[in-house]
Amino acid sequence: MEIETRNTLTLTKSQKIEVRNLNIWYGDAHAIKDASLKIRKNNVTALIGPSGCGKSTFLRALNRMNDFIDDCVTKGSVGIDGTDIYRTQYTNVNNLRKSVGMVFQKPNPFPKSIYENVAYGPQLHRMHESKAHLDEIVKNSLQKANLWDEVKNRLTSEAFSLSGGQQQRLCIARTLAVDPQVVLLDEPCSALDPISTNAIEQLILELKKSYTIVMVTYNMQQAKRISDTTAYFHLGEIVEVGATKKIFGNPNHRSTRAYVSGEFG
Amino acid sequence: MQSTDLDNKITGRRRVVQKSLEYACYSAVTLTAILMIIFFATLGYRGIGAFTQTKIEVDVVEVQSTSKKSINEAMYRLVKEPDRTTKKGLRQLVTPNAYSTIDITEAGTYVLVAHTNVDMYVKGVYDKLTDSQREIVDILISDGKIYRTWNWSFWTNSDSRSPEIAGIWGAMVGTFYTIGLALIFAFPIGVGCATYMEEFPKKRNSWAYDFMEININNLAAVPSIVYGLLGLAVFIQFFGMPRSASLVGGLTLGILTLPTIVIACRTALRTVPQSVRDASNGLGASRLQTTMYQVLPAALPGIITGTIIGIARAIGESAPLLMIGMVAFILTAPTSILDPATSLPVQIYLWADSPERGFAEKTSAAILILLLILVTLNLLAIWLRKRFEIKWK
Ligand SMILES: Nc1ncnc2c1ncn2[C@@H]1O[C@H](COP(=O)(O)OP(=O)(O)OP(=O)(O)O)[C@@H](O)[C@H]1O
Ligand SMILES: [Mg+2]
Repeated sequence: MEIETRNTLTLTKSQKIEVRNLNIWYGDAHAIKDASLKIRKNNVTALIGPSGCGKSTFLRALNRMNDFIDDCVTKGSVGIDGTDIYRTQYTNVNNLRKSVGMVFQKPNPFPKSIYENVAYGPQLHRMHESKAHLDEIVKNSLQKANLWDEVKNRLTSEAFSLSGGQQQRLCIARTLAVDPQVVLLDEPCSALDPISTNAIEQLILELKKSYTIVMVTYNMQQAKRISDTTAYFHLGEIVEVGATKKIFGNPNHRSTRAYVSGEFG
Repeated sequence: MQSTDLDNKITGRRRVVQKSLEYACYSAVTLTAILMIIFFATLGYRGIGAFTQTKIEVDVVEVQSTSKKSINEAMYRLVKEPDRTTKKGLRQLVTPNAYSTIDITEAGTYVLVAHTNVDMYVKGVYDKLTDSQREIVDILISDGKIYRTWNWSFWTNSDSRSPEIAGIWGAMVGTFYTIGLALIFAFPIGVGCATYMEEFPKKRNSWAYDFMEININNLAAVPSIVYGLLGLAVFIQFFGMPRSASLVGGLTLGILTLPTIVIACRTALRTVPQSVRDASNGLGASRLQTTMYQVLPAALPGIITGTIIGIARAIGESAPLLMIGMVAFILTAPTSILDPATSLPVQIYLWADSPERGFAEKTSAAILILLLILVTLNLLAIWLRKRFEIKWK
């Protein structure tokens, strides 16, 4: 079964995720219609499109977070490194979510200390050999999220005491702590001020060296600034995919052109 | 400018309505406060006596064959050459309980608890003493041989036929056992039930879910005496558990508290934002891990507060306990959950029902203690909520 799946998904070397004919329903509502998309390794892929077009739904399909929604039905295939996470009955969905991490729109730290927030994932997966090792993981993750210098002296204080932008970077650190390969970000800056937004953008550019990044964004400028590939969604369909330069410079579709030029949204 | 005029007119009329509403609310609150004060003052006034006790000092000169005889001899000495009726009156100045509780082995001064009639006379509640008794008592008071002390035995004794030595210890222990059992029984089941209903909603349409949903929402409104009947039918008649035992009382009150705990726990779980579950699940936690490590801990302050309030209600319940026979006359504190026991509210009921006037002050004092416990628990709940509640951003 697994071999068969591997064969059906043509995998090129730089390709991390391949979505094929993905269809998602919420009850009777068809939220994603026959979407196909290839996502390259160490790239930032931006998902753009008007509100309600299914960007979040699509993103959540990539680590099966939609499983938690009762009436959500998914058909089609999502191959990660050539393994269809839906068809092979991925033996361990929890491990999938460990390797495909997610950062949400609103910073959502746990009501615990900064340290505990980052340590939670590694503890969950028993990734640490000792307390010192766990400290090390926490430190590394916070460093990767460009937060270490700001919080190193207050690791035990409440995560809620951080500013919104710091909280979001904490959430990114928390995701990085379980050593994922793909990081999904759903409008990570929409609740943040311009300075925090800039900090997160710089961070994403750094992270793409080691991770594959898929992000939903409302902000055209942001997509333009940091993404390599852009996919434009409209009413549940992927209308156009291409290099970001092309999508913003010279898109093939009229509706893409209208959207990126700010005619509607 | 015109519009300002109009506004003022409307505001003027509104102000009258608002002011009168304000006064209505204000007087309602004041009235409630006054009634509460009257209530507590009455209870305090009536019950304060129970916290003191009248004692008689007697000198035993010659030890007799039994303590009873020694005490009686010592009492007779208080009057020169007493006749039969005087002797009888003298004997009745001391609690009959002294005969069995005080062991007189050598001569000396003994402090005995006075009979309830003396106690009531000293406290100025009523005077049922005979003329000769009163004469002796007055002399003894002026000699300092009869005096009031703190009534420690009210805290350490159990119920008795003699009001002067009746205490609340037995009822306190009974309450402790009963409520402890109710808590041990209802807390895990209640939390488990609420967690299942809130956190594992995969089977929203299953009959088990519907059954629980209907039950929980309606059980909270069922009169408590019905739970007593349930306890009687299920635990005593069906399972054959002993009557009057705190085991049955605990289980019954446990069922009574269950809906309160479940509802409080569900509310607490609902206040935990979905984003916390998303965050945990997104890190690869299973549903169970998310529930155990994130959701339940975050909901814990609310769960505990709700449980305390539920338990406070159970502590004040007497009707279900009457049904299962926890209304027994308990002379010694229960030593196990299978022993016949009673509880504080039932003790109040029993004392209030007693014809002896001496029990009146015990009743009020026990009510005061019960209220104090309830107020403490509620304050604890409020404090816990204030202290540990998570302010979600
Ligand atoms: N849990 C759900 N249950 C039912 N329908 C849903 C659910 N979540 C989303 N939908 C519907 O699916 C469609 C796509 O939603 P989705 O959240 O993916 O859009 P989006 O592109 O992320 O929008 P936005 O930019 O506003 O976040 C919408 O029509 C929405 O109403
Ligand atoms: Mg969205």
